[in-house]
Amino acid sequence: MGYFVQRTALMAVTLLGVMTFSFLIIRIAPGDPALLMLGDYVGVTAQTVADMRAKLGLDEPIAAQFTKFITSVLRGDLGVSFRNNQPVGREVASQIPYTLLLAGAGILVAILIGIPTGIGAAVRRNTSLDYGLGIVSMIWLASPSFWFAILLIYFFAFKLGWFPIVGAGRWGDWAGMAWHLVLPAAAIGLRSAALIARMTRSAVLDVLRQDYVRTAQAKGLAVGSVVRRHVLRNAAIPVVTIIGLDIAYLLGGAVVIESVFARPGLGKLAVDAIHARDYPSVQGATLIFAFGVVLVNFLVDLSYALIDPRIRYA
Amino acid sequence: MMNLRRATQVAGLILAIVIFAGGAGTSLQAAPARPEAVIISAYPRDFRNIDPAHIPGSPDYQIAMNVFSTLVRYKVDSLDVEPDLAERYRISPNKRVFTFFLRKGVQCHKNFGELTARDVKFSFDRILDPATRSRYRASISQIQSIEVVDNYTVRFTLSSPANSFLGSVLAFRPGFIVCQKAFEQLGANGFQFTPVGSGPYQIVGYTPRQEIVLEAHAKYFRGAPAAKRIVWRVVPDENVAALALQRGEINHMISRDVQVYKALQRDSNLRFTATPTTGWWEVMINTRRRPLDDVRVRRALAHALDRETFVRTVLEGVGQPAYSIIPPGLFGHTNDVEKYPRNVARARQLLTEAGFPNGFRINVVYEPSDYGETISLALQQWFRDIGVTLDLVKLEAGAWTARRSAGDYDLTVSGTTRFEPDQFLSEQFHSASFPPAGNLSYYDQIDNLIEAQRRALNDRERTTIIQQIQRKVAQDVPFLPIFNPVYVTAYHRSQTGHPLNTAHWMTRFEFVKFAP
Amino acid sequence: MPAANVRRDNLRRAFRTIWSRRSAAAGLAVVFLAVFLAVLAPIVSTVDPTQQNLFTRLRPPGSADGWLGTDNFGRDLLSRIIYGARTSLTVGVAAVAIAAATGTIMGLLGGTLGGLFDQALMRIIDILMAFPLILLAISIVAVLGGGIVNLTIAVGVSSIPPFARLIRGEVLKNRNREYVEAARAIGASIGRVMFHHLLPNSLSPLIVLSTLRVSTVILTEASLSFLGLGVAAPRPTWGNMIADGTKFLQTAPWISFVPGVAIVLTVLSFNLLGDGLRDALDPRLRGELTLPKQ
Repeated sequence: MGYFVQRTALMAVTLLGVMTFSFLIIRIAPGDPALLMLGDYVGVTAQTVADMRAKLGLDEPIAAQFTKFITSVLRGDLGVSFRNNQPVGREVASQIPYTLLLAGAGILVAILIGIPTGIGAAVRRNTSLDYGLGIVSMIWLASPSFWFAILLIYFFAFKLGWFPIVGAGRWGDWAGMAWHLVLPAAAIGLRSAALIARMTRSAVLDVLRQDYVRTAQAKGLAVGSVVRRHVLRNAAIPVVTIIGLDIAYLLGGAVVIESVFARPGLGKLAVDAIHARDYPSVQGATLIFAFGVVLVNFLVDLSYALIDPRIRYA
Repeated sequence: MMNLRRATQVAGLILAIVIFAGGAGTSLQAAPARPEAVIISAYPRDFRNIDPAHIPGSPDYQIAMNVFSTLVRYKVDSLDVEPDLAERYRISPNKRVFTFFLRKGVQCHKNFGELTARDVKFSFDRILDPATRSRYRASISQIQSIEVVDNYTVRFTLSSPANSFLGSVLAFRPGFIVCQKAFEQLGANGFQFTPVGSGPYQIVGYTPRQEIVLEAHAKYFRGAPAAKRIVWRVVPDENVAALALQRGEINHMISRDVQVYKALQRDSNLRFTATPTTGWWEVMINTRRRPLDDVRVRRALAHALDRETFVRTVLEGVGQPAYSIIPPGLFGHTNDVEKYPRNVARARQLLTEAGFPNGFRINVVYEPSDYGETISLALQQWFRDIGVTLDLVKLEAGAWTARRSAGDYDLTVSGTTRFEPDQFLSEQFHSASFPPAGNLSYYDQIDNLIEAQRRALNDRERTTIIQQIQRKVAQDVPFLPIFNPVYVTAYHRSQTGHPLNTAHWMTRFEFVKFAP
Repeated sequence: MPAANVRRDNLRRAFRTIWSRRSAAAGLAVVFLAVFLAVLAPIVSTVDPTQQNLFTRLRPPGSADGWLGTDNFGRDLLSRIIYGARTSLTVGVAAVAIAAATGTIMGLLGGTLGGLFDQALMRIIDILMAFPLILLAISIVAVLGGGIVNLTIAVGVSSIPPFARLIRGEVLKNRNREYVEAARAIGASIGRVMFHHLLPNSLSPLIVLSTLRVSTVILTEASLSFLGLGVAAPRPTWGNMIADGTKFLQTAPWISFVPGVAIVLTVLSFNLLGDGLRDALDPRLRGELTLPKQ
């Protein structure tokens, strides 16, 4: 119980820090939100700019803006976006499903491909299969993600015509949404799959070297059932670890993938907001990310205890 | 071998999922034949504001022009103004009183009723009202009063004669007529993305950051347009949009990049409308910075340019070398100005005269958009030839606004398209428009001429002044026009009747028809 | 045996291990080649990578105007790849150096001093970790502005957390070992304990992480270029070469393909080398240090 209280307190401190950090960093960044909202030069005068600043609430002193930000967040209000006058909370919330969908699908691809590949490579270690899988996953890991994504589009959507290119599909049209998800999920997930495959391979190798496995094998049990019996649990650890490590990337760093496929999502929202100096949206989006990251890491730690009874949190 | 079987099973499972999903996807695409009359167009960025009082730039403008009517509008294939909401109009001899006689029975979208002179007055009053905080307040501040004579007659009185009032105000962004009743009901927030007008299309769907859907306005006064639905889908990357167009996911896009155009041309299912725009991509020279304050230096830079080769090679011939401040096709344009042909020796000589026999070092600041980097790169090579070192400074949009307000740049690259000479002149060459507005050169030598052409009482007089301006600017070289771009609309071959859209280069969908 | 000898011995053994593993050896070879090209770029390539020739643009590889062809401005792609190695590797190595130095100091101080100071440091690391790397880098580029130095700082700062965490973990592991306690007992200052006892024992994982991290930084630079925030033209980096080249995917695919292959090969090699180093220097780390992402 004490662990939970302590953990929660730490999470709160981190989130407060994130809020302060994002509040400050976006204001330190050079750039005038008013001019960015105004767009091109037509009709721009000192007066227009002043009007816009007042409209955005930027004529208030920084300290007042900060107090207002923190107190309204405590009341559950993330403010109003500079760009579209919508409540930031609602706008961020509308992006969360897309982000979760992409992250979830990415993890699914990673698991579906990573674990079998890792097990296969371990069981057939030092064969051409092992080397082949190793090389392929290393190439995945070494490709810049936007390039990889564009090549996926070029070959699988454009040349072969198997998948759609643009957008995320429509809510309600589940098959269409799933279909739109394949390429972006592959672009994100294959990288994690490569990591999981590598970790699974070494985890499985470790298990195969254990005495009890050798004993089992000596007793005549086939490798397959040994793998099934002892290995899968051990393979769960790397999966969970990778998810913990990658969650920040999956939730927000996927912005490049989102841009290429013209998908909505939290990362894209945050980057657009940074470019537009949409202070409330930047603050809101980063807070929600940070919350997601912190929460998932907490869950990851908890699940270690579930997977491996030797790990226990006091 | 168990493990092998296991691996095979897993592989088989994955394959099955892929095939199943593949089947689902294919059937999905095949099943509902896409209604012919739907246009799906790529939109290059996030939607910002479609409310006529706040439109921030060309992408949002291209939606607005399909949603709103104006009193007068540009013809689709020329720069002449024709009546729109106004059946006819009368201009007083002193060019200060404009009277418009409106069509009867014009209907607002969504059953907001008939559009009358009151809506016209409301639209302009709203922009003039300081509480609206409209960016266009200054643009229309010449309006002294608007008078509703009767339901179908409205009279504008200007504080000074204004030649360009029809073209640069009424037929431009601030001239869009909104429906008063709708605004009162929806409020400013509702009007940002779902404003109500009386144009050929009404906005029926807005999904933030994803798409805006327009539907043909059944009661449009010219009759409902053939294209029943327009879907603008946000696709930030032009290359990806081009792939989607070739694959049929979208069926319309405006390509500003010639490389994309080249790739699209290989697809026999596509057709193109290439619009020579009345605009330029140009390099603004900060005349407050040394050594650019010396006109000999600026002329030397001009002599370094080789626009013809640039247009022929990098632009693949899609575009025109630009020399004058007024683009070809625009009122009063002349190419009879000093052109500064490529001449390295002459440039070096000018630099020596100015006291820089060994050249100097300056920077060019640009945003990573469209031709900013392409032009900067070309400049760098040209200037290198005359001994001038050019540093490229690429800034994201936010950082650029800070530099722009502070005047902290030597050169900067931008592109503008307008359709009234006064727009170019007032926005970018009048001393009232120093940064943060558009006079990035800090050029103040033609203020009186700009004001004079606005007041000129007849076209001949105005032409003379505008030609004088063009020669004067070419002498002073506050900026280097590089090329007049050609923007290409690419669309599926089932669409016909795409007009040239000379004034806007953006598509007015009411003219699009579909091949049988 | 004196510590220096032990270290030299470790190094020799490590090198032998790497050499015996073909993949790591190949990685090492490619990394060497890339570094060689980067350092000797002006000698290897006699063509100026920024020299334009509009009359020989978009030539495919193997043409008379360049082995690897030319780009939109007629610039020689081979020369740009070679000079690109210089920028990409400089950014990669410098950013990792910043991250490793800062992270190491933070980790050493936090781990050694403990208490409130450590708590505060860890919160800062948590805050940095709660931002996706690319978002953090974008914010920092926004604050500092573009340019290769600022870009390096941005990517470097965003890479601090893994280093700080790693070193702090190592310190916590070793803090109570006999040799540290012995040093303390004979009155060694905290600084001396940190830099002469704790740091040398964390060197192996530090080297491994640094090697792997260079890959991440090179890829992050590429992503930033794609988002328009990378190194400004005309200085070539592999990242901005690919990003510019995507425009020509259908008409001149080699423009993005050539730097793409360069990046994949180099990043792959750094990863292989990192793996090899890990196995050689510190087999315990298997599974603990994995390849980070962009």
